[in-house]
Amino acid sequence: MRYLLLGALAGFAAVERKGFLQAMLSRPIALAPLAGLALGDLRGGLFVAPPLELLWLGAVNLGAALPVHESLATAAIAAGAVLAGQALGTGVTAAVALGAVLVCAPLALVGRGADRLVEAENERLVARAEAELACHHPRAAVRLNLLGLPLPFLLSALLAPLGAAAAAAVVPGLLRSSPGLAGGLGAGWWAFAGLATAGGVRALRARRAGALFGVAAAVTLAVGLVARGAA
Amino acid sequence: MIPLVRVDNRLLHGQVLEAWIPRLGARTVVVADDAAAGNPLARAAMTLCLPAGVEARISAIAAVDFPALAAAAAPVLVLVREVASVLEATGLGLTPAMAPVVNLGNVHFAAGRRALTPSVYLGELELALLRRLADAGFRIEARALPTEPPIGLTELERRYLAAHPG
Amino acid sequence: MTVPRRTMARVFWRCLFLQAAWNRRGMQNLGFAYAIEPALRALYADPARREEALARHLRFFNCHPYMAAAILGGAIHHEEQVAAGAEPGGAALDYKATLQGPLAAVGDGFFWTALRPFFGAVAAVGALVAGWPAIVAALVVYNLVHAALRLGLFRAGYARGDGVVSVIARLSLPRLAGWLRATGALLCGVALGILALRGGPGAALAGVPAIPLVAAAAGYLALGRGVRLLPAAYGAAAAGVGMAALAARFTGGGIHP
Repeated sequence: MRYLLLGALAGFAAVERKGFLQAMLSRPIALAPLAGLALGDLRGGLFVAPPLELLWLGAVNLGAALPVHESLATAAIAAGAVLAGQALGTGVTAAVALGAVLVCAPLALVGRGADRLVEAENERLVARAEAELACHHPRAAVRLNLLGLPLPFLLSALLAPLGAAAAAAVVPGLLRSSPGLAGGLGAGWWAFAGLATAGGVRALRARRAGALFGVAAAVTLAVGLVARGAA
Repeated sequence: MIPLVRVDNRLLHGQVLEAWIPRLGARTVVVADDAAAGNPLARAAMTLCLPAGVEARISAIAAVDFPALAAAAAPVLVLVREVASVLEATGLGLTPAMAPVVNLGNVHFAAGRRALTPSVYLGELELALLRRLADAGFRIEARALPTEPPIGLTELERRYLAAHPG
Repeated sequence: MTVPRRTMARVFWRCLFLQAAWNRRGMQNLGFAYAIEPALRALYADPARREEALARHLRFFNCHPYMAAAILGGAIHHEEQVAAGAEPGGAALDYKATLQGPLAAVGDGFFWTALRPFFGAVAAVGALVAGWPAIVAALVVYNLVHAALRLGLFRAGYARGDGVVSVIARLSLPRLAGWLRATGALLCGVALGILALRGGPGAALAGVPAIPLVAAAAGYLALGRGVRLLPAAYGAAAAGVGMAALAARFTGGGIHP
């Protein structure tokens, strides 16, 4: 049941991302908390959302060039982390989150392949529309446009639960069999999160981006450390 | 110098401005296209998408001074609409020494053309023209964005033979 | 000859499905034909002329999905002229062909690579500081801007045809994009600082929250040299694990969970 809900959410995100609307609902920052909510752990979804959003800030569709599928990967990572955290009874920790990322991130590339498949299938819809128009059915011809939506929905609805299930199977087993790994994986998560912010800056391509990035990080850190010292 | 001559049916658009210009460090784009040069709406539209610090020159192919562009110190990106336009440019003095790479970005479907990459459709005519350019010393590559792997002419010819007609 | 308001509302709703059948050969062609079809039905009573008009809008088209609303409005502006016999049949097609590339560039340069990532960074920092309400707030503001511009462009295109270009020029989107990108870069830095603090002992080496900072600096340099994002992400994760293991060996203690 929960996998069905997750599949529906991932499918909707895949459609919102390209075929309908584009209102940022399929971006990691929205989708990861929603996936967490759907599986009963909003906090877990919120934990992974900011680094994933920043990591894939540059995943944009320019013309015919396809980006990696940040929505599919995000749905799988967030859900995988939540499910693994629930299985362990710890909730989503840094180590669990990194485990889910390592297992599910390649889905971003798989999703791009799925997008290519969808594009090729859609050419058939156009051919059918041309045939309908030739038969003097203009309204039926253009309505075929909407038949482009089910395939991306189905592909993401299938792949995201699969990825989440893989993470839910692998990550708890790993952490249970070697508990010493938790600290290392946790540190790995924070390194991943740091890299994600760098990915975000690179995607924004601002002038003097490096300086802005460094200064903002240093000031934030200084303020935080001073506040902590005062407390 | 002219680090890239790009064949793009869409001329100036997001892939060029967001990906190629930053990658090449170009400050100037030359749109060498007779139709765009003669169309006030096209000229107005093209100037409105330019980021600060990037200049676009829109002119008819025959009015472009390729040797002067090649002699300039700053990199210049040249955009043309069709494969045949590159050949026309060589007639106006463009040589592989000035512009070593001809990039095929977006070449749309037309009768007789086959899909060789997701954004490049070529027919026998275009492939023959490209072969002439390659024999003259230009490096031919097909890719929409600089982050994609370039696909060479030999591979394009192989794909053409392997592709279904239509 | 004008299109009724209700029909225009339907056209705008349908234009949200512009990319539903995105394909390599015609790209957004079927989506555009789907969107404009109600307007053509209103303009051309004669079925033969209506089908001819629809067939021309099934030809190649591609633009940024938000900016395409301006072209859709302008194409209807021209189709009204065509239906009235004031312009030749190809007028709307020429209009689309001329504007699609440049307006795609405007949309990619403003919405996709400045406004949306800016709001993504706002929402990410907001989520770190204030949790889910900040995400909701950021998304609401983004979509107010998005909807206002998308609908405004559609109406401006319809009302002014070719004049929509000067409307867009007055928005000075490229200049705004520069500001959004710079602020977005600052926000990424803020996010890094917060994440480093949030990591606590788990992200620290010798008491300093160094792991995210080192990963960000190294990642920034590596990505600038063309290293791809996913390999960089796996590399950073492995380096983080390695740093923690090394630190544990030198301090002799266990690693903090």
